[in-house]
Amino acid sequence: MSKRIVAACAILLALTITFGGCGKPKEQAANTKGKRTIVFVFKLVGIPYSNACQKGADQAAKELGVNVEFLGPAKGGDVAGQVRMIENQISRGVDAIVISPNDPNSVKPVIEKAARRGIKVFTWDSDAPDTKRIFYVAAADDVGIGEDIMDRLAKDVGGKGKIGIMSGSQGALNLNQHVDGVLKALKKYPNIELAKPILNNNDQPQLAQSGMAGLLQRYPDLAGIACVSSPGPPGAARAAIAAGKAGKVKIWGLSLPSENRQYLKDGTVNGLILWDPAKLTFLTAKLVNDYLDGRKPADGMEVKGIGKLKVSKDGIIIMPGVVITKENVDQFDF
Amino acid sequence: MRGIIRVKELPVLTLCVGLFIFFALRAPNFTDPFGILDDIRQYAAYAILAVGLTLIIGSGGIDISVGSVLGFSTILMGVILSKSAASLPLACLAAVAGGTAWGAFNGLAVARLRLQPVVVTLSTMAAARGIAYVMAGQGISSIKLPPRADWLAGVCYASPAPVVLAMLVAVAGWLALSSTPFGRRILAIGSNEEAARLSGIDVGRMKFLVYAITGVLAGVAGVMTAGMMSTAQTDAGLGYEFEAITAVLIGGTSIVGGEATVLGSVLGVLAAALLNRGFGLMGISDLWRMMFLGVTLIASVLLDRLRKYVALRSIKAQRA
Amino acid sequence: MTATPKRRISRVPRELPIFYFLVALCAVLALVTRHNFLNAGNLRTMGTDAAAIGIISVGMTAVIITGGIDLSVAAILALSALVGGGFISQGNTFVGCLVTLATGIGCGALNGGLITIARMPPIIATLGTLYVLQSAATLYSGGQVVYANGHLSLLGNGFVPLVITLVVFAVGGAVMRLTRMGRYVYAIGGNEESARLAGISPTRVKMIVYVASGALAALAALVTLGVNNTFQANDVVGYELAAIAAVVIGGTSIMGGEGSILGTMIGVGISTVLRNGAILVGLDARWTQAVIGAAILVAVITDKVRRR
Repeated sequence: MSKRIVAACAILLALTITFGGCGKPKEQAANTKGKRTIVFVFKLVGIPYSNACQKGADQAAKELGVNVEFLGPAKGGDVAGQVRMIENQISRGVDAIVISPNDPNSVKPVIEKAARRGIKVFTWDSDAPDTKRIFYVAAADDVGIGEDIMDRLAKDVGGKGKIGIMSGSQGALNLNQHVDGVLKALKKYPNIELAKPILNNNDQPQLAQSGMAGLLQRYPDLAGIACVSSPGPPGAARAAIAAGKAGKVKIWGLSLPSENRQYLKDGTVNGLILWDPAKLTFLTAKLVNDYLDGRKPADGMEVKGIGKLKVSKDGIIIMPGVVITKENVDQFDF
Repeated sequence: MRGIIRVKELPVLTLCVGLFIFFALRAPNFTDPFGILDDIRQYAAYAILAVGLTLIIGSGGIDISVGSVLGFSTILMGVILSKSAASLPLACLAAVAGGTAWGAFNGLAVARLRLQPVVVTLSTMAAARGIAYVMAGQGISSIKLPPRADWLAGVCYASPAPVVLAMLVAVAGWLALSSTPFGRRILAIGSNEEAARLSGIDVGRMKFLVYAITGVLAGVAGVMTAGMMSTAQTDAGLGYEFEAITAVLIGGTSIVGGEATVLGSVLGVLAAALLNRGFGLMGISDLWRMMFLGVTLIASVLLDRLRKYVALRSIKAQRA
Repeated sequence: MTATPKRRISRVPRELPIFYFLVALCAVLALVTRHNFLNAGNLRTMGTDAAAIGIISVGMTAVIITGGIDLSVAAILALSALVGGGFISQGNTFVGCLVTLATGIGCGALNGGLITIARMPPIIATLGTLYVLQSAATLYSGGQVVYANGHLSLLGNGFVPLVITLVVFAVGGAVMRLTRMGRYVYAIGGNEESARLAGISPTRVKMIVYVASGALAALAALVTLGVNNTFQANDVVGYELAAIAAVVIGGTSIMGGEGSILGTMIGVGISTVLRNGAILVGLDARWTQAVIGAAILVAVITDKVRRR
């Protein structure tokens, strides 16, 4: 008897919840104490890069006087989790959602839903082209960064030799695009050949180090390596040092200055290409806020503390990035 | 009415109601039915996996490969749709068939080769994911579904169909477990495999079936996931097995086998969905959600012990 | 007259087939890659690569032999490294090491308590602690990287990680084979009720085993800090599955009661050699997962066949 009561309650609960949703969406109540709310949904939380972005978001909240929040799934590469979070923000009825999607295609439906409800959607750090996002702010496009890394590496190895590539994992779109960029630029240098296999370090330092060590075994005369995942350059540096090849193998990559400080200074890592995630996030919040006030971004506009912005017709806004070498590494605190 | 404490779904139902009330008061817009439907739709795939896992765990086994099999099916569908002119229904069927194949493989290894379920499914977990990566191609993280799949995307994303499907699967699972000889045999095997075998139950065949069925369900969940994301992701389903198993355990199904409740598992998934929605609307970090999930898992098992202890005491008291 | 089938009781040590497999694997790699595989530098690389997973595999072997499992070891490693790492980065190396070990032991005791006192099934208890400790590690560190600043480089240089790992294997193997506690572990795993009737306390043995697993995770944390000089909460995600795979490949039965540290060592060796070998022969990274899955299956099936 009791079991039936419990079962009946459960079924009733489930039915109410499910089919209650077949009605029209309620008027979105503002929940945000009347203040404008901009929510950033990043790829994940709990890594130094996302922490740096959050700093930028917090600073924007202070300076602009609006609510700026920063969220992301706990796990990396959690496409479904990210979509769920965006759904939640749509439910809240926030004013603007800014996304750095784990996968650009997966967020297309949810962006459309947000647009239908009158919420403005933007992207930053990684784009979702071909969706209803209003504009995209980045420090370079993902493929372009890869090309840049390759060009600088090519210069340091003198235009010839074998170079390797280290990525994080196959499931990360932005990393794949960086690698595509490296491969694209590689074609420009007929005397440089790719040292296969392309390594995956799963965004973990141990695999970065052992992967590079293995590659150095396979190619003792390896000229350089392009690392597009953050633990890559320091791990590769350690492997180079252990193999006695520090300085002989040139290392360029995408990584945080704080993780590479000593290696940049002693020359094991030649340079990093990055941008300040806090500045990027702050800039995006500011541009979004301006947009909500009716001010659209214009090509060539100057922003204090950041520089000149390039704005393209399909809404791609590029802020100047930064090349980090031993000369300027101490200027950065991330 | 005191018998209510004997109902094994009581803890998880209390959890669901408790979460609902808490968030309805504290999280803005929590009770928006449209919003709740959206969130539940996102968890439909977990619910489908959870039904299959309930059967497996009820029979005394386990399957940690469901997430990878889901991913395999998704990519299989994506590859077929993008690299050939096959129709959408055919691609979906192939994806489900792929999932079934892995499930059947698990089932054969467990039933015929008598290998331990956790070991077999650990290896299929790695193998299925690996083959998905290989099928997708070097450096490919996702395959955008071509236009002829738009119908699927529309159905999965914009309609209650995924939730309805999940509920149908749940009802089927519940009926199978509670009212058919099949269900009785599964639970008998989970309770005491030797006794079940001696009483004439074809243990091997039953075990094979639960793994194969779960494979089918993982394939279906894979198709659904591809539809919802409009893209076939190589990392689709990553980690789903642990969250689904957590939901099943929170729901009252016993890990040692013999006692299983599909209703409990579905409520467990519902609890996870409500938690996700509530924390999301309150702006609480996803890390705290993970923490809460872990605490809830431990607490629910402890409470279940407590419940059984109290129930036993009340029976003894009645008899005295 | 009925014929009784003869049963050959195998006198061959159970680890022999996988040992042959490892040797064959190494031989093939040595032939194919010439001097790239068997040289001091590469051995050192593999040794360093095997260290963290190897150390936690020893604890995992004991846990599995008692019929349990510890899904939270990687999370314990992470939390220990981050909590102790704070002290180490500021130069309080000794205190930091103690704190790391204490954290590992504490987490191990948490698992042990849930499993023995609260009678929770190990898979559930450690799944729950996995969630709790992993999220705690990220929340505690704020996701930031902790820097050892070279204070633990002693543990990370040259062949030291490999030596430490081998020592842990040796000690673990000795404890399991030669001490009373080791016999108790096998007894509990074999038949807990009989063991209890024989006077062995399952509670005590299991508690010790889970605490040991936690302590070894902490040791692995220190070695990792020594090797990488940094630690971030996500650095060892997935290591628990790698450890379980190594234990299983090594011939330890997941049901408990039988298995060996030696087998686990060979299992760790096989997965390390596969990882290293894949790069040496130029195998695309996307094949690694599939190969590992196949390896586990092959190992388990051959073990099963051997026991027929």
